[in-house]
Amino acid sequence: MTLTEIETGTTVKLLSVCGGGNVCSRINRMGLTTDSILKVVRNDKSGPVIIEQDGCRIVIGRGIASRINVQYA
Amino acid sequence: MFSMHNIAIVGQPNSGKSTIFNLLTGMNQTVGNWPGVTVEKKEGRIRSGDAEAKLIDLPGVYGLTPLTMDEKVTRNYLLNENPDLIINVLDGSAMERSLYLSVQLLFLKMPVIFFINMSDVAEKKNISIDTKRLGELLGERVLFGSGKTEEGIEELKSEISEMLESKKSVSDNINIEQENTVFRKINAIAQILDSNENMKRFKYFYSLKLLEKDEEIENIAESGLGKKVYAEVKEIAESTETSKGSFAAADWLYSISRGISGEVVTKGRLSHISLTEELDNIFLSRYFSLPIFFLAFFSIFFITFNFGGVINKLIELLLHSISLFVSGNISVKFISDFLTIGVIGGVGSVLSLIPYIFIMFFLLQVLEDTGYMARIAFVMDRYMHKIGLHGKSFIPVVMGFGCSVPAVMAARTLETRSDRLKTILLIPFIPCSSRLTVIILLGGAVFGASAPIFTFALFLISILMAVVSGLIFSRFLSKDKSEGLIMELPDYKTPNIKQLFMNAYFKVEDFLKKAGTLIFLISIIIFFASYFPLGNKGGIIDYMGHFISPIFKPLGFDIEMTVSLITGFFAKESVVSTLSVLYNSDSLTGYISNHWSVLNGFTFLLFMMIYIPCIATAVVIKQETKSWKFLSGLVIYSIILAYGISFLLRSLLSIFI
Repeated sequence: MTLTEIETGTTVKLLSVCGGGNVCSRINRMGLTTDSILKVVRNDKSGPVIIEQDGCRIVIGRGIASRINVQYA
Repeated sequence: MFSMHNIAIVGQPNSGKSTIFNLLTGMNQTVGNWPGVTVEKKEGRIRSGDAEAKLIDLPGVYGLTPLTMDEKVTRNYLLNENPDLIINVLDGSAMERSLYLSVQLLFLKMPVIFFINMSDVAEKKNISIDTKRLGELLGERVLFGSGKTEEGIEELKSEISEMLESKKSVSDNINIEQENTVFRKINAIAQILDSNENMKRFKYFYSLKLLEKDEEIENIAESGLGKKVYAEVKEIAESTETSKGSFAAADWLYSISRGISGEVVTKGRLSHISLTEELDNIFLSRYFSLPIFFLAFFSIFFITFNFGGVINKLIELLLHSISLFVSGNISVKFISDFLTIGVIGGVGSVLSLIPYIFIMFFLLQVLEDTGYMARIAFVMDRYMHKIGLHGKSFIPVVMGFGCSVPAVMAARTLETRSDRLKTILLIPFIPCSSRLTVIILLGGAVFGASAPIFTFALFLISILMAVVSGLIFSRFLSKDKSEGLIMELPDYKTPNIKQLFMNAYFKVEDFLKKAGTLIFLISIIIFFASYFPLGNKGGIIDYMGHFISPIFKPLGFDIEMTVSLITGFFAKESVVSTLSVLYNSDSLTGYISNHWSVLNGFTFLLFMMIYIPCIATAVVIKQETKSWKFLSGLVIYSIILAYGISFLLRSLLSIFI
């Protein structure tokens, strides 16, 4: 599943990030690495997704969010 | 001979690093940056014992991999300037993430003080941190305090002087107790680098970055080590035991941070929903987010112009009485003209902008410090996508309402070059505060009672031009799509009033230094150019005006208007001061309301809003894009656009008026 498919309020575990360029590094340095546990705080049908990890809220644009693979934690 | 120590403050964005910097240096600082994030290098002085040290506030970074300009600045400073001491500010309420940077700093093998900030927030969130154990794990001094309550700042100061005096040497190995493939590789590569004079100093850091396939460091290593040794290093770095490749190193760093954080941080249960959650439920809600956003920005403009307007009236009154005094006491017409029109007029144009600049930047900083500015990126992301940008670009664009110069600079926080370019090229079309002052000042004279409607229309047309330009640029200039938004939403905070005032004060100081002197000089030059060689109305500038005015005939501009557009290139505000010098009338607004038709006034103001960015903006655009091609393209495009749209709307409007 990708992050965009997760409903608001669900906690998930990050599996992998697909995509080239700097996308991976940009996600990594925000604290989102393999096995990170994150909670989806906000996911509407369009627009960016907001997640919470280690007490921090992070906005992820829909394009990037669709490249993050997760599973239910 | 005593040499001045260099201290660098390093921290992640929103760690409260700048607050700590302000507390340590007080008013003793020079700032070259503008609002929003710390983009420029801020410097200050700090007294430690008998000695003085230079303190540098480096741009906020998440790690030491240079993805953005900010991160390049910070890393290059640390590697090239070799500071005597690093103060790493950590966000106490997000230790896991903060430690990601701290652990990387350990690889630099430089003296570090770790300062855990926001003890008050951490307490509210029911988080406690075992600083003693953390100190043992990191092998360096760890202090705890809060920039907001100023707790722990004195201890930090005395620790700084102690560290500088003792010149404590840093041990040669990395004290991270982890038996791990990545760590083994780092040590193996470090051993090879140790034999190279140039790479020895940062052997652990370089090894780490080589594992991360950091291009910059790979180039250094390849040229420094020679082909054969570099191949050896490469072999160690790329011998894969996991499938993660170059991300193994980043994952490993995070696992260390997580491990340390898990050992020293105790999180209590939170009995209630946090304030941030509650506020986000309102500010980011589907129905209220946009109205709140518009309300916030409308308030900024409302307060800036009303409040600023009142102060402006007082300044005008003061200058007017000085002018009267001068012209009453000096009988030589030329000298009295020079003093009243050239000098006092010039000073007046600078002074009249200060209230606006101060209030505008004060309020923008309130948005930034409360944490609302970052929410704007979320709210605007979906709309910005329509013009090929993402939500983070909106912040520089918003700053463009204040001044294009800091706005262009703020685009540095965007990660990819194409995002930066597209944002930078769009900014000059956002009506900046100096253009707004011109349209408000002259609009009142031209349009009389219907001024609010006309000036607002001008404002909207200008924004529309920005949107249209954004669409054009993203269609033709760059094919690669924006990578997208990823940014932190910091917790909501009450801003510190003292810091807000300090910040706005430094912005005004910066404006006076950079633009203020320029505007003043232009007024003096215009005065002379309009007076010589043949007295009033017989100056060089009139000849220039005569020469190019035929081009602007179709738009209905007179010679004075044409000339003021030339000087407007130097600073848009000087449109007003030039007109007032050239019309040589007691009251510029009075003259304009009698002599300009509504149609001419509207066309002129519209043209003025859109044509070429001012010289200061042009200079920073060149600096940031490093391309004359983009700058000249932008200048030509903007003149054509300004001429075209003014002519079109003038023709349309003339049917009705």
